[in-house]
Amino acid sequence: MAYSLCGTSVDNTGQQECDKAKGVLSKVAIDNGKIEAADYATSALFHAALIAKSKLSKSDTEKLFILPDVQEVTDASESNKEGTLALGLKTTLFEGRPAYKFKFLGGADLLARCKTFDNQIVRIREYDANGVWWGTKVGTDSKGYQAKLFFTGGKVATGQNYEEGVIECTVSILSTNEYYKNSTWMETTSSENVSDLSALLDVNFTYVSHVSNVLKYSMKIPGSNLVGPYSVGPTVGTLIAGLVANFSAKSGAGTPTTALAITSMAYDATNDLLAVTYDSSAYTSATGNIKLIPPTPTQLDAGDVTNTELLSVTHSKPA
Amino acid sequence: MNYNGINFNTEYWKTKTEAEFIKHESHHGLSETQLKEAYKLMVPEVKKVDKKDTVTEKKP
Repeated sequence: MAYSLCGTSVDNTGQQECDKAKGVLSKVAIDNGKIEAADYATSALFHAALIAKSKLSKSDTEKLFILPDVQEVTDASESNKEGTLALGLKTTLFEGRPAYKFKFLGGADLLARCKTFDNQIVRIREYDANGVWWGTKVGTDSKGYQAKLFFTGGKVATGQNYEEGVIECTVSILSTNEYYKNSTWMETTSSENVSDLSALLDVNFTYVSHVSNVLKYSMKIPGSNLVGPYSVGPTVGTLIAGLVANFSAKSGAGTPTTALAITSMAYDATNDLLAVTYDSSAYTSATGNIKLIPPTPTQLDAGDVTNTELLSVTHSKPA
Repeated sequence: MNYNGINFNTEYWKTKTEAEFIKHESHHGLSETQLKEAYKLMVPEVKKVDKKDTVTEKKP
């Protein structure tokens, strides 16, 4: 066609050496936040940003949740919609939405935790077996693809295949524009270990007992074991008590807002409890509830309490 | 600061007296001597400046 208008809407079709293509899926990270331009200027900065995001509290909007290693992946994309004319011309009318299923290993507790993401619209980053992170760009920020997730598992194994402890996640990508036309990538180097991204475990504080202004709390991971939740005290109780400077507390009715100083902290190994001593004067005058606010996961990590998110607790001031 | 398994909030105790500290933290089972030692580790005594070391201008 001599008088083409294509020049304003199409690109040239040359290709650079080593043009990246998605490899076998290795990891998936749920990340509703972003990585700003300054933090993806180099792969080292990008890697550091991912690690920092993985260690944030789950309530932080920049939190990244890393899932276990992918053991199997199958394409589940919708086929393209095609149309034909009566004389035989067949063409693609629109592109099918991308989707896939991947399997990873996990028990009943991890399945229950994953299922809290069922049917949630989130953003995901993909990490492939070639060491490349994939996502998209919104403005100047690096972001994950918009996707809907659904987790299945927990069925009885039949003994015919590898089924025991296998969790399957179905990923439905929302935007072909993000996934096909605006994918962006970041290559990692051999010194950037994807395993440095942390998956955290929730640990609940529960008020147990007190003597005057010294209150004792259990520290347990909720789970499906009927015997009871798993206490982290014997493993990291002493380390947690050592982070007294990173704890804070408040008192007051409803949601406490009045500062309540913590003067000391110790791990009571005999009873497997954390003993927290509050300022006696402030404690005496406190009314309503007591809220104990623990260190952030990043502060815990710095104190060698790794892969852990301690959750704050609010309870009535004991009589 | 960790002393015999007890983690004292140094920032809090920096602004308090030794007597207040001993009265408040005696429930941990530490002796008074130990509590005094713990307090000194958190709040070291400021060395008094010897008057001999100070320079005073001689009046003409």
